[in-house]
Amino acid sequence: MELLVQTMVNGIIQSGFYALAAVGLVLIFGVMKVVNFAHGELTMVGAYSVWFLHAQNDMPFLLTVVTAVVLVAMIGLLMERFLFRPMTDSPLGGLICSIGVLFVLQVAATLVGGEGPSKQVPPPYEGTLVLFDMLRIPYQRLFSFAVAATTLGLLWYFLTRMRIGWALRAVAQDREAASLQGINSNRMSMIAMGVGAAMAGLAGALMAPLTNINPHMGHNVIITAFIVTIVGGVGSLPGAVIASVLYALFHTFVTTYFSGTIATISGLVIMVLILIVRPSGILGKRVTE
Amino acid sequence: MSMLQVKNVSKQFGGLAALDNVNFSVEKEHIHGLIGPNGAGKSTMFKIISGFSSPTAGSIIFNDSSITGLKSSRIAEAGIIRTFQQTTLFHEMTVFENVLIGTHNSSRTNILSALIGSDRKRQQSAKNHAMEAIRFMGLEDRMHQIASELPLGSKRALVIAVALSAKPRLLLLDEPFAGMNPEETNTMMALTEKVRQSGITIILVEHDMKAVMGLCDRLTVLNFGKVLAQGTPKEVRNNPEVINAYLGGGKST
Amino acid sequence: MLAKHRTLMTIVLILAGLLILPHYLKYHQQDFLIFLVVNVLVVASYRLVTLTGEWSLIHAVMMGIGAYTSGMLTKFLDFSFWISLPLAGVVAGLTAALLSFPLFRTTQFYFLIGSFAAGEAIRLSWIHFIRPFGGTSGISALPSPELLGIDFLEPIPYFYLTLAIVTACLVILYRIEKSRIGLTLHAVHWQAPLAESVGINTWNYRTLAFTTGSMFVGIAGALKVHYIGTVTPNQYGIGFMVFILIWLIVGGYKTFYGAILGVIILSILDEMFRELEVIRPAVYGAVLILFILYLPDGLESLPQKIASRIKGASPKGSHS
Repeated sequence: MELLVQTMVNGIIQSGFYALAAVGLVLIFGVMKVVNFAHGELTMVGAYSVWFLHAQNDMPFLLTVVTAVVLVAMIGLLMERFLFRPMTDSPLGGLICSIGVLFVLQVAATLVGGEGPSKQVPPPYEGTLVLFDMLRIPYQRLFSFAVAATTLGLLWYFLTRMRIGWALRAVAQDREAASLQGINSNRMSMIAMGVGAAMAGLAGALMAPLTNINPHMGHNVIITAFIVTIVGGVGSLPGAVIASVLYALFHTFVTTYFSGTIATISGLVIMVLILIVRPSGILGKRVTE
Repeated sequence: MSMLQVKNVSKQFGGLAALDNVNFSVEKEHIHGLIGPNGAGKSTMFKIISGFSSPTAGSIIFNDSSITGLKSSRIAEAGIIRTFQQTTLFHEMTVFENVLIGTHNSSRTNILSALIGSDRKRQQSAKNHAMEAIRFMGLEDRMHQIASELPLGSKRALVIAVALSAKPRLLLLDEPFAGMNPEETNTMMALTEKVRQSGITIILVEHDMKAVMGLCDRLTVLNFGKVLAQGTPKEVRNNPEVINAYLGGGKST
Repeated sequence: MLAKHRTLMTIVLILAGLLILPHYLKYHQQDFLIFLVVNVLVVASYRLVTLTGEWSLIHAVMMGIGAYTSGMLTKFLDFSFWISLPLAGVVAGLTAALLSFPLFRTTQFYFLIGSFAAGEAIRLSWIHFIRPFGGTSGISALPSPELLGIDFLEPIPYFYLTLAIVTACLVILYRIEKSRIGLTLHAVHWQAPLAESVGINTWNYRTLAFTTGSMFVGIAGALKVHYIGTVTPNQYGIGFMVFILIWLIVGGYKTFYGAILGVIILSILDEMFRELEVIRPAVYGAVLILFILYLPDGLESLPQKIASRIKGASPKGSHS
């Protein structure tokens, strides 16, 4: 029983990271129709920034988180302006460019951090919250989850309650119709990419004190983000959030009771099964001809 | 017995009925016009007959057997070939290659015979057949041109040539006259008539009333997804409901 | 006719050159040459998959399936290489055929991601199920082929063996592309609805290209594994998949020769710049980006581009 509840709580906390990464990927795909394969590497850069600035150079943790978010958002904006925008007519071209970026960022991380073993960041928030004598949540995790949830809430507000969010969704639905209504779709692409990348950077920065940091950590992130995106329904942000929670719970349970590899394999199999049964995902709209 | 029967066909999109209990039938070697204002459901009807969409209710009977809900490639095999609005072609390929692809049903092959060349005879006859379709549509001078470089009239002729090379028994033409000048329209009308003369039944969706009235043996008029009127062009033209809803409704087409 | 003869002559000359080349190379260069010939088959088979316009991300894993199949059959069940080689192709092809059912319910983005997911699931299974796949360190000490008392352990005989098999496979791949089937695959790529309207079952043809391409890369996997004698899951991960993509794009995916050109030129450059070490992937990444931005039709379109520049005519843009 204790293990069960503890696993569930761990899963929910984990879902914050998944949702941050996946929502960014969905946003970028929705508005620009580009699969950003380097999305995992954007989180990796976020984690590396915290390691380099906080753990190596003693900058205050919160300041490094903000720096990481800004840095990764800048990388995202550069990608949009110089790679994805010239490739607007060729979705495959954008994808291939992002694969190129993936390698460049991995090498950059290796150059900054050196080869050697994975890096660790000592958690800035010590201590563990104990509830009902059985549930143990380290403050660090609680903090990360709170920030992730708040950010997702703000994004939801931005997309549904603000004019610019509405324009963003219009471009995601129909680029041509949106530009007929006077919406500058290039600007929307920049916003989507900036926001999407910033969220990936935030996910990485929050993850940094809780995980092993190495240049290849993005691989697991992108696999997770793909699974969540497909299961939730491409183009559906609420779908991505719900799928993040479900998948995080599933993954945490299978990891706790079996193993991490089995968890990922079954996640991938579920994703392929979803493609068979309902290619549009659990919340995506069915494609009509 | 009619060649094609559309029986009680309905199609819902979400809560909207694009087609509502539509019935009509097409006689052999007729040119059957399907007309109506934009959004009346003509395109949806076309998609359903050709298998690109399936009806929510009702059935399509082709030569006494139901083809309702079959895959589009199966329906094409059965002899119903559709064309598309605008000029949907293999734009990167030559006129000859376009038409050659159209012969798929009679020339399909498997990897093994393609490798050892045992299908050579069949491929040769497909090529001859493609040539016939090209000559029939008067495109022999443009055979080796790239499709995207053709003038509009020739593109439209090529659209039909591709369809013809698939040996249709029933040909569905989707707005073949759209955007044409009077001269091109006349040429196209003559070609359409020639296709019918060769024994092919045609369903024509078209807005150009001159072409519709000049070519069709019978018309079905759709409005808001329902059949508004049926009959010969003359009957339809004098039907007060049609005049009210469509021809005289202030919308000049 | 004359052009055809000239092409034939060129091919004969290249083959003749390849036959004597290994005798003038150092040991590690002979290794390099064998891998290069295998990789030519890898990209040529990948091009067949992409002919219908569907780019998969599972090709590297398919090669791994061939490698594991042949490796396990020869090591654990004492199969002869001559039987395990075609079986490697068959197993990879069958896997692709099975995966077609879920994967080709979708196209484009979904197919790409779906193929990536399926590939990772297979690769992670190799890592997880230590029996029989050997986990992260894979399976080693695999036997080398033998025929009529000749042991193909040494580089030079193995090179000839590889060259013969790869040449045969290339001839088959080329004939498929030039046949009626090749034309139909192009049709499915450029205008799937029109293809459907004349009776082409687009699902069948996508599956056909995917299955056949996977079969040939399975054979390539078997060829590679019996030379290096080891198979591990990480040889066939997304890293190698990206190499395949880069070869195809840099060479030019629009023609049969373009892809082959890409793998040859990049492999030679790669060999020359070995001392770059850590930053090598970044160089590849940059090359990939530069090509897709400035030379999307690849190296094979370069002569034409230069020619039209010199003539002063505006360079012909890529048609989309």
